[in-house]
Amino acid sequence: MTITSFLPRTAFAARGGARRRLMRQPTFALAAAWLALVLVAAAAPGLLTRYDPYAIDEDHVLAPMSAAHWFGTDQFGRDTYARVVYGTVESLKAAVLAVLIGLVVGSLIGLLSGFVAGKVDTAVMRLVDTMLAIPALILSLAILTTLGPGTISIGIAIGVNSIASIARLMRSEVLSVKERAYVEASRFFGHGMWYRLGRHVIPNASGSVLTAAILDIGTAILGVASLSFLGLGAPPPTPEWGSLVAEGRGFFPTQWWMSILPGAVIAVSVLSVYKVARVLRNSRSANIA
Amino acid sequence: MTALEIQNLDVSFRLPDREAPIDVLKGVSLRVEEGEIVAVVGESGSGKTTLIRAVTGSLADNATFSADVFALGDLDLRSLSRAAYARVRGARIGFVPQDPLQGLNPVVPVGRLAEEPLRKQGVGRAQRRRQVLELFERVGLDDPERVHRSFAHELSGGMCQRVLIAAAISTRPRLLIADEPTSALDVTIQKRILDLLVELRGEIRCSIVLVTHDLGVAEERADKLHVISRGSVVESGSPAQILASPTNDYTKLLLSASTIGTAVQVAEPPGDQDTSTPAAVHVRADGVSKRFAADAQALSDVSFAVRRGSTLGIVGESGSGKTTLLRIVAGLVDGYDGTVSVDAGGQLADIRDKASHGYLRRRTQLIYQGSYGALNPRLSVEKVIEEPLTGFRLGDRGWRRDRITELLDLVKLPQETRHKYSSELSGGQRQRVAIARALAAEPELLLADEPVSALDVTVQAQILELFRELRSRFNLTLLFVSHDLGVISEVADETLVLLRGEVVDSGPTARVLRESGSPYVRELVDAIPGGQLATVSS
Repeated sequence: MTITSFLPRTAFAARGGARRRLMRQPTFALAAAWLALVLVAAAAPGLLTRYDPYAIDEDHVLAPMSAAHWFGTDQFGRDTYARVVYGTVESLKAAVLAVLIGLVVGSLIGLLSGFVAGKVDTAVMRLVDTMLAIPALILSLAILTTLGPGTISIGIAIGVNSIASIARLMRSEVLSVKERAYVEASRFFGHGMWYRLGRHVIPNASGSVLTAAILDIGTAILGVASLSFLGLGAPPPTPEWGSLVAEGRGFFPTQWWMSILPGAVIAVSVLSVYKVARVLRNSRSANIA
Repeated sequence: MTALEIQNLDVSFRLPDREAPIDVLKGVSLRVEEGEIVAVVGESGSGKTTLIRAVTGSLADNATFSADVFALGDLDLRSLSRAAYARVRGARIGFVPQDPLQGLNPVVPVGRLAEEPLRKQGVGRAQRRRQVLELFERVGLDDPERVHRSFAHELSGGMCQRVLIAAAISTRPRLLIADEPTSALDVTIQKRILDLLVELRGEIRCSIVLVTHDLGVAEERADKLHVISRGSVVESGSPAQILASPTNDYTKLLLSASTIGTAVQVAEPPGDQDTSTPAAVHVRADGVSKRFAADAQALSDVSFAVRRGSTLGIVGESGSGKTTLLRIVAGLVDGYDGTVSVDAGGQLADIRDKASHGYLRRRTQLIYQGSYGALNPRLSVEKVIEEPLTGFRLGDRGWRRDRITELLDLVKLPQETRHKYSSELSGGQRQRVAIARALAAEPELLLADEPVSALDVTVQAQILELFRELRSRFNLTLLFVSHDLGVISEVADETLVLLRGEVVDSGPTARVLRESGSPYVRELVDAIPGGQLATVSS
């Protein structure tokens, strides 16, 4: 069973007409185009810039924005735009890892809690309450202190925070889906619990969880950027969106673009994720519910 | 004087995904004289709700609307601004919605809700309260003071509808619009609510537009009848005239479908039943009782026996325990007293006896009330029907494909349906898919829980016909639950009437319907809408 089979049927398996219609919404088209660009930057940064993000150029230190250096250069003469482009992969890796952790662990917990019910449910949900009571930043910092800085650590530290909310969402979906007539009817057709779970409960419960997870990518990008801003990400000189903002901070009064432009890239990316996720969610509620 | 006059009304909707607007109403003309009850009859999708929305000025923003005449008394409604319309709506048009529970805000006491139209008119607090209490009494609510401070969930559906009627007439409107005012209510209450509307008409001298899908309801109470189909009025005139000689094919169809239940006069037990060698008992219940919470007795001491190949109709209003009884037979409910036995390969076996489970599971199938929730929205029809085939490991892939083809033919669905999803099907088609699925593994006992109550009348008639056909073809034993005695009389050989978990009457359907000594059963029979139809149409 492929991932898309869980996703809103009409959003992904949309017929040509439906897809064209989505693309005709200018904001959706822009957001999708931007995210495509971000993916290209992560996969093949060389396509988007000819500069080496690590090349020091002492003749062009702290250069302003220009045709040669779109985002200017930093105090070592490195091209900031190139650093943003090359930094994409680390930032994205951490964000995707975070979402996957939240999604997989959260869904399993929610599924167990909702499907088994009874004492297991009560115990698991009290645990989830506890997790929700711990401030996200403190939990992330505690995890990072234990694991040490780095992209993977950041991903884990951010991901753990979304486990609880995903688990709750999954649980409530499972609770409602498992009462539907077709799940009960399945018993009359000679099928056992695993079939009911795999064929009926999970596919129908996971739609909204997946759209929530896509929405979470945006939040995760922000979380990852914050932690790497605090210097807890990949060690320098590896570029990362958050650490680029931090590096420019000291030059803000004179070279404001050093911080603002990488920050704008983060903001636009997050907004684009939100836009796309919202469209997916709406098309889902319009067609399934 | 004319209360409402509409000439040549067109309404169309523009949808973002379609180039051309969808015409929902095409050239509808309607005239309501003062003090008249005009019924608008049509099935879902016919445009009756759009008509109401046009009259109440609450069409959606994407609607375009034109009419030659559109006037309430001498007031031209076409030129009204939204704000002006809102005032007219409160003062001169009263509205009774379809589902009383949805019509009442659950977090505000119903008394305050009922005072709303008067408050909008600037009537003072004490006066408002007094008037509403009087109205509550007038619409037949006992203890108006208590009702006034109750919340919607503390009242029954019928009481909520009475509250809404009181609110609708509180401003003494000239026109009262009732949108399927009784379709969410039990039959005996339906009758009382409709009678109330007719009475009030005389009293406050308003005109009533009664929108309904039920020709029976319409003909008994309306002065004039309009049949609406696919956005056009296809027939109008006095009920007697239309029913005696319908000219339009759709009206004829609707009429024949509405005679469901008038079988009271015609149904005889099937003649081919050989009473000398009665078929073996297939299902037997002995003293079945079930209680849920401490004081909620769902069923008490229910017994019945159903012979193989015959149909038992179980009828009762909501809360009578009919669904619980069916679910007990299905083996879905535990913790009941008494025994239920089902024939498992030649002899009756207690359904709690694990040894019989393997046999019974495949041969007992349940058909659900809402066909929508009964089908997984993410599976195609083919996959849905295949479920029992894979579950019981019947045949290989090719065989299963052929079997699905056969089953689709059996329930009269086109073969293209197999690749569709339930959201692409109509209610009737979904119920056909559910029936095909239930039949896939060749059951002997079919348990049907309100299988037609969510369907339009013409579709109901078709599905009931399908049930009858399949039953005799496969010699199925059928337990058929419905709140509608009319539907039951169409399919059941024997009928069991439940009231608050107790058997009020049981026996051959014709006897129960005609000669029952129980006043409750008599009331149910009288409440079948369109009791007059049979005499008119035959």
